[in-house]
Amino acid sequence: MTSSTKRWQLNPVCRLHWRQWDQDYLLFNAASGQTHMLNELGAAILLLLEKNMLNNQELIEQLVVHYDGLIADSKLQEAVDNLLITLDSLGLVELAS
Amino acid sequence: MKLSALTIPDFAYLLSREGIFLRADPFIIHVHSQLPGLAAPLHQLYSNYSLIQNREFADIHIRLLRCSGLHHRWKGTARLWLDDITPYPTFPEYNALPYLEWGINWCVATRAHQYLILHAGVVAKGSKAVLLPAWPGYGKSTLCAALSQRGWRLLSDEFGLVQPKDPTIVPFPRPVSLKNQSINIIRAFAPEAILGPIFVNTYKGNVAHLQAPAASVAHAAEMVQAGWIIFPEFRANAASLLTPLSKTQAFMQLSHHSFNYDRIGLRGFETVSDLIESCECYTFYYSDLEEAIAQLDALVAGKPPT
Repeated sequence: MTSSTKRWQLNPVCRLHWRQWDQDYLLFNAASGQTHMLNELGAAILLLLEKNMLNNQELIEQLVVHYDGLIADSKLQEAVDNLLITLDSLGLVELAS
Repeated sequence: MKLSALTIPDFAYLLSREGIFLRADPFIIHVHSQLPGLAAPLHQLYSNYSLIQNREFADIHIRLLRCSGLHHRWKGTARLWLDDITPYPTFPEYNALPYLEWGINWCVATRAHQYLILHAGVVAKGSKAVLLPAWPGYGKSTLCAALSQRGWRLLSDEFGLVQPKDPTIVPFPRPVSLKNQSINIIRAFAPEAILGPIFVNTYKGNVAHLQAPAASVAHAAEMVQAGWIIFPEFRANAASLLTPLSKTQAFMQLSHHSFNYDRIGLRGFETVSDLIESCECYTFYYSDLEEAIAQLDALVAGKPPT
């Protein structure tokens, strides 16, 4: 399995609490005590990974289905790839073993 | 018993023996000191507060003691003790009152974790409070002092104590600490206001304290819902300007103005979030106090900023 086909999951130690105001999402991770501000795409990725383990391609397919106006193009691919790296560095997601 | 019922000599005697147990809602503060310069200004600024007869419990224990040793005695230096902790270096005896005030603040900021503790002035008009969170030097205390002299209830010039779950504001009215130019500004703005002595060359510059209005002290046990969160900033010669702030931006700013947001975990997140959701949020630039007060009066009266 290549890295792009590996599935992402929510870090199992996370305990997430959400608030949403307009297009902004605030996320408190009770496991780390950290507060994060997310845009709609970042929040959508986390909400999808809260339900299922998904690889990058599957995530994009799900995002396009669930969120109006998103197109599965190279820009979305790049944005999702970058956001997953960021969320991984924040300890919010991880590659499933 | 009201503190004002005691003469200054009787008060000084009590202070120097077993100390006084002062009700400064929501806390009971035990102050013990033999420093000769403390009793008179303390008596003046806290004259509307009650002394507790039951001396079994206090939330805060503060002692201001003369330093031992010939060198210290000759220089007239003193030290503040909070239980067994001395958070400040020694100071001249004649500056005891500002150190007492800072000591009380230090205790509240580091220990009162039953509340979300915001670095904010809090005032109220009608049934709702205005939180004024600000960085030091942004004019928060000056604005609180001015509002308190124009019919607003003073809840605090330093702490927004927020009770989680509701979230309601717990008043903690105390003398307003005015620094440097603010002292003369408030003297000119409200000549009838009761100010204590000026303490010169403290580590915060010149400091004087404005007595909290008697009505604010009398209603100190009455909690208030917050209606507005306003981030004030004094800008010389600027026209008063209230600008709406998004909930997210207000959240990020307000959490940065908390002494214990990181420490109280999920309670902090939920309390700040609930507070933000229940309030209108603004930034506020001001320079002229009368103009600023007129704008805040209009806001709480339901007139949106123009």
